Amino acid sequence: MARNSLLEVENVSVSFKSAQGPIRAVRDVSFRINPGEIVALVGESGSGKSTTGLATMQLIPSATVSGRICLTRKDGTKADLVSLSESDIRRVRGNEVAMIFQEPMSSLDPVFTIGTQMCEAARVHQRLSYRQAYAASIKALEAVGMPDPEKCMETYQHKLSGGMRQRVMIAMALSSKPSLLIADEPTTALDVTIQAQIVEYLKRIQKQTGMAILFITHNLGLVAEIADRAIVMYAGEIVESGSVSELFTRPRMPYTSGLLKSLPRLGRKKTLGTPIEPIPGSLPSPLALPSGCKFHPRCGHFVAGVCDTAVPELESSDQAHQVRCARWRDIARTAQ
Amino acid sequence: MSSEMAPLLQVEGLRKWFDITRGVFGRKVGQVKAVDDVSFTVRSREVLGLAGESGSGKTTIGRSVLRLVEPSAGRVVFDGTDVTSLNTADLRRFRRRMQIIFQDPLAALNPQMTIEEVLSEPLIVQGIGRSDADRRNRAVELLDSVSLSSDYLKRRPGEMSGGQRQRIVIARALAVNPEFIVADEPVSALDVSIQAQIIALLIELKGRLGLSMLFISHDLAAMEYISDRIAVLYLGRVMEIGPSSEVCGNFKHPYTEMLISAVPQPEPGYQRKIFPAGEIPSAASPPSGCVFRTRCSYARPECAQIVPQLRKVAEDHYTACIRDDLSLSRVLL
Ligand SMILES: Nc1ncnc2c1ncn2[C@@H]1O[C@H](COP(=O)(O)OP(=O)(O)OP(=O)(O)O)[C@@H](O)[C@H]1O
Ligand SMILES: Nc1ncnc2c1ncn2[C@@H]1O[C@H](COP(=O)(O)OP(=O)(O)OP(=O)(O)O)[C@@H](O)[C@H]1O
Ligand code: SF4
Ligand SMILES: [Mg+2]
Ligand SMILES: [Mg+2]
Repeated sequence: MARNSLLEVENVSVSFKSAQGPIRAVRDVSFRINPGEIVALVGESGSGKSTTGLATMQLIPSATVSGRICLTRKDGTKADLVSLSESDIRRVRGNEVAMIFQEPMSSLDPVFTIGTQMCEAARVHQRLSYRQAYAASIKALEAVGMPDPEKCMETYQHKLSGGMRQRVMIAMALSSKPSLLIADEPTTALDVTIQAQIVEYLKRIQKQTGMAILFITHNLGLVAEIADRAIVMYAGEIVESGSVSELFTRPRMPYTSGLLKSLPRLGRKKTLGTPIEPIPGSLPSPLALPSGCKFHPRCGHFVAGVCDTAVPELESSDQAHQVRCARWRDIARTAQ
Repeated sequence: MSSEMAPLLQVEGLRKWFDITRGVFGRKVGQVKAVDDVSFTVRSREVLGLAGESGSGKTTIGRSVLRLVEPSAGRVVFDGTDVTSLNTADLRRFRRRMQIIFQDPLAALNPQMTIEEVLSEPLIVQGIGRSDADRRNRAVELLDSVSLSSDYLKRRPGEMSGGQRQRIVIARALAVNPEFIVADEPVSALDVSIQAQIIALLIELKGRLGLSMLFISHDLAAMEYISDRIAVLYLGRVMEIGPSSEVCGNFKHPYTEMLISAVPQPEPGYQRKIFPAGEIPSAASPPSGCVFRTRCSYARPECAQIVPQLRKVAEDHYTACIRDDLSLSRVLL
């Protein structure tokens, strides 16, 4: 399987310096993305999702990154992004891996028209003539459902709605036909209606181009909607991963099942009437992480001496399903 | 609407048009129709949800009800008193009965103050409690009601998590024993696991203290869960209003159908049947007739002429759509 994977993240840790000591924001994270696969990276605020995404792009100069991030390039060769030179990594960023963010405003330049920025990017990265770049940009905007691409090319970013700006960002990110798109909460700031449209275009473009997507979100509904596989993070570690259907129907890690039980379900008030069950407590500070399982202070299955001593390993519970919990076997047994 | 008892809050023909001005002299060049002819009631011990896309007027309605913005027209009657005609002194006394909770707990709290000071402030303003000791007791009681221990009295907002801060904001709103609370996106800034805690807390407080509430949110699932009824807004107008399970499961307005079908379902394999079209137009130049018609897949030529009025479809359930021949998709499972 590893043979044809597009991205292999191996034992990656990221730490930031701070006045109160190092913040080990991401610890020993390993996962893999196959070509054409949509993988969701899900977790609550501060769990390390963005840090993982940014580390993959080598976009956090202020951090120390260890481990290996191995990308299979378009020419078939493999490259470890962690040890690539700055000029090589820039080539990867422009052509092979692209990233979009929650707030597209900050990624667009306010003084140039959308058209100028798109054409410039297309000319630099794809070495197109101005005319070719213009035609390609119009096509790219059409592909993301921009209602009037010609008019959009002539406007400035502040004249566009949040949804339209995000469409522009996606069109620009995809212009170099990357094999991997990292989307960091691209729809979190948008209305559900606009979110549904953008997710639909992302899915459609993914099918047409066969690129892979790492979709970062805190929204479990979106995970079910967009992803084939999901990786759940908690306090800087992967705590569970597996196919979306596995995770939603047979979560193994108490944190994942707790999250699912705490979600209100739309349109089910009458039929189900099941109360939501909040997870007690709150997320630990990255400077004061609990010993052992990072979830143990909030976990209903906690057993002293078992959960708070060693950090549980990420183990395979089923085929292609991994869980980090010292008691997952006991819990699975009693659940049956 | 049909209820034997007089409602606690009655909003009639509420309108808020903001002037759009230009230049140093503030020349008026147009108007934003943020809220346009909105009527609804909130009964005693009832939670009414306000749903709708960004810019639909939810916050403006919530703030108009408390007269934190001055309505351009219409009446807000609270327990028999016309709030819109109160003078400043009477309004201040009235505020004791109606409180507001905002989205961002960090911005809502003064970082310099201890939690004890935060919770005592409204008591001092409203002249509640005779001594510091009295007020401290009340503060401890308030902390307890939001499931925080008295250890937090000496802490400052910066030393607490987001969920704990939102509990403090709620406790502060409860300090003066209000009957009615406007909660404007009270859980939107919080983590998923913390959202559920705050929603459960609000439901518990509603039951225990007999609170009435206007619950404003982008999250329809959470809203259905906490609300007795839901009003769906679009461009400053009410499109549909009814019992929350009816509005979410048996809706009668095409906009509600669009909004509900857009919500991602945490069910693997769930297929969306309806795709939302277009974006909300500018409130400075809303479409004629039915404001939703430019995005509505069921629109007819008449929709551009007639402003649809709320029409009764079932007990307590009203829709503002002229088409009574639609059978809308039951989008959910
Ligand atoms: N530049 C930085 N310097 C110091 N600490 C940082 C920095 N960036 C992130 N962190 C810390 O690293 C941890 C992980 O942050 P990260 O932004 O990756 O979380 P996230 O899962 O993306 O959260 P969110 O959902 O809020 O975006 C947090 O504790 C955060 O405070
Ligand atoms: N002070 C103001 N001056 C001018 N226009 C305003 C003002 N406040 C709000 N508006 C406009 O009124 C309309 C309704 O805004 P409001 O904030 O009530 O919407 P909302 O439904 O709460 O949106 P959101 O979900 O984004 O919070 C918007 O078009 C907004 O731009
Ligand atoms: S290891 Fe223990 S504390 Fe952690 S999730 Fe499993 S049962 Fe809960
Ligand atoms: Mg992030
Ligand atoms: Mg608002």
